[in-house]
Amino acid sequence: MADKSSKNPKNAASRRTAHGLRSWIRRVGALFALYAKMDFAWLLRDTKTALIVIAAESISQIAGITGVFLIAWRFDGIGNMDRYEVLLLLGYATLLQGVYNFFFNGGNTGHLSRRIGRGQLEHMMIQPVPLGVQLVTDGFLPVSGNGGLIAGIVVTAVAVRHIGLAVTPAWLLLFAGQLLAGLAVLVGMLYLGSVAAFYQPVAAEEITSDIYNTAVRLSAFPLSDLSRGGQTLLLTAIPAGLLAWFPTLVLLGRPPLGLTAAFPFLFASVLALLTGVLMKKGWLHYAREGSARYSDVGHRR
Amino acid sequence: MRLAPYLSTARMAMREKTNAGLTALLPRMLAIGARVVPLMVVWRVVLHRGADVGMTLSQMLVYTFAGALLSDLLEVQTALSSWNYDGRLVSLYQRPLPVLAHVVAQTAGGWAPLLLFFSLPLLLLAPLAGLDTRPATLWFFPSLLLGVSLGFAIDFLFSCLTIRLRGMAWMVYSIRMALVSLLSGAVIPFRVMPFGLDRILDLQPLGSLAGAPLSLLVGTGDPARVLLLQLGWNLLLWPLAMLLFARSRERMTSYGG
Amino acid sequence: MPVKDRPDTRMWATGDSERAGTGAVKTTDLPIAVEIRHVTKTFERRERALTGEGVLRGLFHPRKGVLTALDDISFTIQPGEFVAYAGPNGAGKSTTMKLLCGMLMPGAGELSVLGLSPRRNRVRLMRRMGVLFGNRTELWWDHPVLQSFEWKRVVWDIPDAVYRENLAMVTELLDLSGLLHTFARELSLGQRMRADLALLLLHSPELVLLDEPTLGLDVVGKRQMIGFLKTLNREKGVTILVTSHDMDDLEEMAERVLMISEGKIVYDGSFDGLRRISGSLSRISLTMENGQPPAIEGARLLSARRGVYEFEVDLDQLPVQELLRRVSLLEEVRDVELGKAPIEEVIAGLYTEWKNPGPR
Repeated sequence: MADKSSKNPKNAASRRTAHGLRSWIRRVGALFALYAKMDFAWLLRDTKTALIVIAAESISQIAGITGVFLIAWRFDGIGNMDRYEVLLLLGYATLLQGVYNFFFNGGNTGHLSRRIGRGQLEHMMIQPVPLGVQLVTDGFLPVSGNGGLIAGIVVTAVAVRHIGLAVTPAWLLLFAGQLLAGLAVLVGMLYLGSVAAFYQPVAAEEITSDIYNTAVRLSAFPLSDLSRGGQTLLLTAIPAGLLAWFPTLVLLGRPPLGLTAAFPFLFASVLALLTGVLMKKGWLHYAREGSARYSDVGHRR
Repeated sequence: MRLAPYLSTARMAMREKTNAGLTALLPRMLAIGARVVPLMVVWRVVLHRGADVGMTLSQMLVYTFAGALLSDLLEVQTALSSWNYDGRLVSLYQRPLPVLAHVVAQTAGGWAPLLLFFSLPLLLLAPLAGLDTRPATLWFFPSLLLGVSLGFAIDFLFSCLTIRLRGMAWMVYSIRMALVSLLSGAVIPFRVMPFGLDRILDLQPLGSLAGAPLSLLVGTGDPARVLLLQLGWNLLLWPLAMLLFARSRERMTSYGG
Repeated sequence: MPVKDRPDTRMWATGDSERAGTGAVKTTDLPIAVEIRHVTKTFERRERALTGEGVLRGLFHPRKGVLTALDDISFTIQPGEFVAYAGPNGAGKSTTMKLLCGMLMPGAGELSVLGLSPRRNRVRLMRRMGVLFGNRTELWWDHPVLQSFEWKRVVWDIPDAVYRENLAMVTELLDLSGLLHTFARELSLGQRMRADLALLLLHSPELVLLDEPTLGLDVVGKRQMIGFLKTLNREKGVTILVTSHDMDDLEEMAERVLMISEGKIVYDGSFDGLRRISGSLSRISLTMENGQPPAIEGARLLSARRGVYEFEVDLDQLPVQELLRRVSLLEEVRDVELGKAPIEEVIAGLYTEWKNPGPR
C-alpha cells in the first residue's frame, strides 16, 4: 500500500525545506572550509613571514589602544571607570576588531564599499552562490586574520584578572552574546554605509574605511562622562558605544541608562532590517546604472 | 624650475575629490568629528578633577581640535605604498617630473578641498565657540611647514620598506598607522604621557611631525628647541629617504609581460 | 537557423561516461542559448565642466546626460553556435554581455539565457554558463593556479569526476602543466589568459561569453586560444559568444557575426555577407617582373608598392575564371595571389560609414 504521508504536500514541502536547509548548511560549511584551507596554505608557504605578519598585527592593535590606556594610567582612570576597567574596555574593543577581521577581513568582504566602488561586484555575480552567502563566507581568514584576536584575548584576560571578575559559564555566555551583537552592529554599520557606494562609487569607495576607523576610534573611549544626550547618540544614531563601552559595562554588572543586556541584540536586528532594505535598493540601482569603473585592487589579492 | 606641471597635478588631485560634489567630503568630516569629540570630553573630565599636566584645559582642547582638523598635514600619508602594490608606481617614471616631487604635488592637491571647505573655516570660526585657535607664536607656521616636509620624508622611508617587504604591505601600513598615532603627538600631547615618556617622545622623529607644531600653536613649546629638532630631522631623513628610494627602484612592483 | 544534429552540450565531462558522447540530440530539443527581445538600456552620466565656474556650479547643481547603450536590439543564438559580437568602441558590446550575466537590468525588453532569466535565476544560470572579461582575472593573485582551480571546484560544487576530467583536458589543451603550481601574480599576460580560460571551463559550461579574450596576447598565444575555442565549439558543442576588436581573429573563430553600432544591431550574418554589403568582395595581387603597372578590366587598382599591385574585384560581376583569363593575358606576371578582402578593412569602412553617413 502506498505511503500516504509521502503524497501529503505539506510533508513534501517540509522535506524539501529540511533538505534545502541541510544543503545550504553543507554549502556554507564547505565554503568556510575552503577559505580556511586557502588561508592556511598562506601560512605554510612562507611560515616565517606569516608569523611576522600575525605578530605585527597584534602589536599594532596594542599600540592603537596604548594612548588611551596611558591617559587612564596617568589620571588613575577616566570618569567612573578605573584603570583596569578602562583596560577591559580597550581589550574588549580590540577583541571585537579581531573577531571582525577573523570573519570579514578577507577580500574586502566587510569593506563592501570598496568592492562596489571599484566595480568588483561583477566577480560576485558570476559565481553560482547567493550573494548573501558570499558576503558571509568570503572574508573568512582564520589564520592571517587572528592577530587582533590574540591581542584582544590577552588584554581582556589581563584586565579581567586585575578587576577580579568571576568568570562563570553564564558570564562567558553573556560575553559571547555581547560580542556577537557588537559584531552584528559593526557589520551592519559598514554595510549601511556601503549603500552610498552604489550611488557614488568614486566618492564612497572608502566610506567603510572611514566608518570603521571612526567606529573603532570612538569605541575605545569610556563614554560614561558624556551627557545623557551624547550617550544616547552613541548608542543609537552612531552606535559606536555598542561596540565596547556598553558591553563592558554590562559585563561589569552596571549597564548604562537603565538599559538591559538585550539592547544590543534589539538594535542589531533593527539595523539589519534597515540595512537589508537599503542594500536591496542600492543593488537595484547598480543593476540599472552599472558601473563604468573597474579596478582589481584588493580583489583576490 | 617650472611650477606649472606640479600645480596642474595638484589641481587634478583636488578635482578628483570634488568631482562628486562636496558631500564626498562628508565621511572624512565625520571621521574628524569622531576623533575630536570624545577626546575633548575626556580632557574635560580628567582636567576638571584638577590634574596638572602643564597645560590648561583651553590649551588641551585647542591642541586636540587643531590636531584633528590639520591631520592631513600633521600625519602625512601619500599613496606611494598602494601605488606600489598595484603596479602604478613604476608608471610615474614615464612622466617628465621627479617622482617624489610629483607625489608631493598630488598629495598636497588632495588635501586642498577638506582644508579649504572644512578645516580652515572651522579653525577661523572656533573662537566664536570659545576656542582660541590663534597661534601663541608665529613660529607655528614654519614649524608646520617643517613638520609637513618631515612627514613626506618619513612617508617615503615607509614606502621604501613596503617596496622591500613586498608581501607585507598591509603589515607595514598597520604598524605605521599605530606608531604614528601614538608617537607623533597628534592625538595625545606628550605632556600627558606617564612614566616620563614625554622627554623621550619629544626627541624622536615622529614627535616632530605633530607634537612639535601643535606645542607652538598652544604655547607650551619652546620655539628654538622645537624648530632646531625639526630642522635636524629634516636634514637627516630627507637625504636618507631620497637615497633609499632611488635604490628601491629596481624592486618596485611591475606587472605585465 | 536550420536544425543541426550536435552532441548534447550538457554531456561534456559530466562524469557519466555512458551518456557522454552517445547519440545526437537535435538542437530544437535544447533551450535557445540566448534570446534578446527588444532590449533597450540607457545610463545617466554626469557631465563635467572644465572651467572654474563650471566646476563650482557642478558642486551644487551637477549636469547629467543620458547615454543610450542599447537601442531596441533583438537577436537569438542557438545552442552550439559560435557567434562573433563586433562593433566600434562604445557600441554596446560589454553592456550586452553584462545584461546576459544578470549584472545589469534592461530598461525595456526581455532576455533569456539557456531558458532562464539572468536576473531572477542568476545562481542557477552561473552553474551552466561561463564568463570571461579579457582585462580581468578570476584567479587568486597570491595563490598558485591550481589553488584557484580547487577554489572553483568547491564554489561551483563541481563533482570530483567532472573536475578531474576537465582539469586533465584543459591542462593538456591549454598547455598548463608547467603553470599549475605558479602563483598567478608571476604569470605573463598570455599565461594568465590561458589559466583564466581553463578556470572558466572547469564546470563544463554550456554557454561561454568571452569579452576580448585575445586582448594583449602575442601571435602564438592567439593561435592557441583560437584553436582551443574552435575545438571546444566543434567537439563539445559549447555555445560561444565572443567580442573582440581583432576582426581577423573573429572571422577565424566564428561562423556568424553580429555587428552593433551606437546601440543598434546593424548586421547579422556571415563575414562574407559583410564583404558583399560593403561591395569589396575579393582582392587580387599581381607581382610584376618589370615593375610595369598592369591593367585588368573590371578590377580597380588599390595600391602599388615595389612591383606588387593590388586590385579590388567583385567576383559576382567578374567571375574568377574570366578574371584569371584576363590575368593570363598580361606579360611578366611573376606571382598571383587571390583572396577575400581583409575583413579589418571592410569593417573599418563600415564603421566610418556608420559614423559619417554620406548622402544616399
